[in-house]
Amino acid sequence: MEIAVRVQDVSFQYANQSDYALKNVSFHVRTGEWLTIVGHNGSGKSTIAKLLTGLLQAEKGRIEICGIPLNEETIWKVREQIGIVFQNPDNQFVGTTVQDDVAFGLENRGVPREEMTERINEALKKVNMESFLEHEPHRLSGGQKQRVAIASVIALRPRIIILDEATSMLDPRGKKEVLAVIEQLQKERQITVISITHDLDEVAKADRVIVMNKGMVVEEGTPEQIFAHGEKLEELGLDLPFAVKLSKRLKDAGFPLTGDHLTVEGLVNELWTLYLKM
Amino acid sequence: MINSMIIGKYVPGRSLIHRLDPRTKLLMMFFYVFIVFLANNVWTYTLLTLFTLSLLLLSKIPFSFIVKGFKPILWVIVFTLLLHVLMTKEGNMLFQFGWIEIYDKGVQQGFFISLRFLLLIAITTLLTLTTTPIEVTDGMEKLLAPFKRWNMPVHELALMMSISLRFIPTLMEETEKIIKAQAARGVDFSSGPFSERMKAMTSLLIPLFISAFKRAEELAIAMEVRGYRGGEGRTKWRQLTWSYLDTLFMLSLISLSILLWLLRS
Amino acid sequence: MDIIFKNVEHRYQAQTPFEKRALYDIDLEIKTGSYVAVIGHTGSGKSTLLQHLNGLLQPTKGSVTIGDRTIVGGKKEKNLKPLRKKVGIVFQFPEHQLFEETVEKDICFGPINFGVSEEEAKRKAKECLSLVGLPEEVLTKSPFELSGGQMRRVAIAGVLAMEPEVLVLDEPTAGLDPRGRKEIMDMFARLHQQKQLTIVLVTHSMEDAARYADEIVIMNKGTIVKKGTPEEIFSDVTSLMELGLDVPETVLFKHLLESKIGEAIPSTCLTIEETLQGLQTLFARVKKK
Repeated sequence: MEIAVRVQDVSFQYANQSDYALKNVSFHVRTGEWLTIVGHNGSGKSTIAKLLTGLLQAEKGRIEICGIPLNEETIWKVREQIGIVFQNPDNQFVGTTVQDDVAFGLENRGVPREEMTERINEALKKVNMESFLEHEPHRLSGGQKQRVAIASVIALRPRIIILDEATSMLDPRGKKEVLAVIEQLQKERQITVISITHDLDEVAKADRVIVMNKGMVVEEGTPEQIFAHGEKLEELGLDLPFAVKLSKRLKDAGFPLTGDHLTVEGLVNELWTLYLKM
Repeated sequence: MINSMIIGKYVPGRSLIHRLDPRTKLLMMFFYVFIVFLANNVWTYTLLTLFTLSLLLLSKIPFSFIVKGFKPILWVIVFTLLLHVLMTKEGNMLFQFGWIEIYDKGVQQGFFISLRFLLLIAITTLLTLTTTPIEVTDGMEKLLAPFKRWNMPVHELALMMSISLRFIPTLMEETEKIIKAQAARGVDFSSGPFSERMKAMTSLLIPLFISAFKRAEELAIAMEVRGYRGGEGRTKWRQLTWSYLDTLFMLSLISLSILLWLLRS
Repeated sequence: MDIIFKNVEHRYQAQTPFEKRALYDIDLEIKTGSYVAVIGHTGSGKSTLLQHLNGLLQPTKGSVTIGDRTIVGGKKEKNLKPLRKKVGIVFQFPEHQLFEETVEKDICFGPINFGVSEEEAKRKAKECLSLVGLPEEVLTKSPFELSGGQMRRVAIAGVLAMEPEVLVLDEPTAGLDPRGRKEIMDMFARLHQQKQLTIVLVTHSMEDAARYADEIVIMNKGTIVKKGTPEEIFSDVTSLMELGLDVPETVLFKHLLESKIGEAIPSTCLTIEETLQGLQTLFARVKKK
């Protein structure tokens, strides 16, 4: 398996704070994988996104993106590999219209104009925003703006997309739209996804989950493995999905379930089998 | 209510005037300001008015929109008119009422100057009604490009302008939200003694500034991550195309100036 | 203090080419001491509705009665300050309204605007700060040194210090982490119970509506399409889904299981506990057979 991101022993401290935001953090992300990083506000998870793109420099440790060690000289090369979708849909919309916004990144890279038009249309089609080319940002919903942000990112053809709490300011509908688009991209294009979040759906969609607390990685595993920790997770800023909670309660009450279900559908199916057997 | 102020002036359309290159429109407006001063008699003013009216007609914009552009400075026009009518003491006296004496020269002067004002406003209003703000920015960037040689930050200015345009509606919305939030905390923005009004303004402006700074910071980060490192080596997606129409309009403006020059007294 | 909406309509920018009808045919009664959740998509009119609760917006038709004040459509009502004291609104992202040098001054801002003495306001500030779960030493700090979650709490304290009789909450937990969300929602539930505060909660979260509210109002495209107790609302899962709204997962679970086994679970299933009990009764009954 190819490694897309490797973080080794990284520490970081903000200038005016006494505690380390990150302490000896190590992890890796495989190419094409969806890694979700969770932890409550202030756990250091957002610092990671800034370090990976060289917006902040690690005090100690090594970061490698697609085989390129991150340092002063390679910073722009590394940024070509990574796209970020940030939290606030408004504050990352640079262009005056949807198509101008997607064009912005391409202009920065010096892409010739004919190719730009093609890539803008293709990217907007991917996020189902192709009928909004001329729309101004204040006429779009939060979810639509975030989808434009994703289009702006994928038009640059990065190998890694970071979602930095990208769904936290959206309504349920907007959130669903955004996650559906990301999921499809990951499948179709083998894009590596790193999502920093406390959203349970983003956790459940992940291949692997890292839990951060006080600047350290405290847990790592598949969503199933992570949710198996139960109440302990709630202290670390992660809710348990309803299906997991109910599975646990049912097992405690003597229902012979095989395990904790992540989805309501899974749980319903097993209860149905139990019901039929009786 | 705030929305109707600055934004939304542009009236979408496909008329000849809409289709002109923004550089043409900017240049025409620029030279028009000088040409207006060539007119000084009935003939020249008639010619100028006809030219301007035909531009307005070509734009297919309802006349009421143009008239709206006059409203804010209507009193200036009325004032100039009265000033000239009452103060000029040349030519034949038309009538006298107490200390008020009105001369024909005065009436003519007042009329011409007011007309000059109206024409200038009509032309600038026409520009904003038929050109999107971003087209104006692009046009300016292109027209000012030669000044880069003397270290004028043309690209940066244009980027600043387009980002401001992008954020005006966002900040307006934000202003409205904060006004409402503070009103819910008992702030009265429209009445009360001066000191209380100052406090009310502070409760609006501080949150607005803080949020604007935060937006600027986040926007700068987003721009950097998307590869922005200044104007060097950038390509441009928005292209301006100069067509025969543009040449035609520029030529018509030149002919107009020549005619005005010949007809002025 | 009861709030009654009678046939309310609201048009933005009325009598202009930009006129937009945001609300129509609104009939609603919010009783003293109740906890009402208003649910709907973005653009369903719920924000417009909530701004009628303290006269920030006035109806273009119909009437809104808040306690002893009635605002009639079309007539511009003045002197709304007493109304705004009685109905406190916590807007979405309320931390964006903070502006004073210290937390104490910011919390006192509302009460002083409503004519409370400085001394009294300071006493209330202290009290409300502890209500929202912040330590007293925060009072002297600048609100801008605090974390996002703490700023949110300060802003909420600023509204509570006005001692409103009705508290209106617009997505009060947006953007918070799960722990912060739960703490804040539990605090509002406590205030509701202990102080008999009337609460109107505008939310996207069906979970919160099911857990905390005793009445739910569902809005769609500018009008009320459904209202009732959580039990009533969630007994009809299909019509909620038709509106494109989420259903609490407990309710979804009940719905799915019932349609599989073809038998009703004897419980409303609004919480995990109820669901568990329902399942136990169901399975015990089946066993006996």
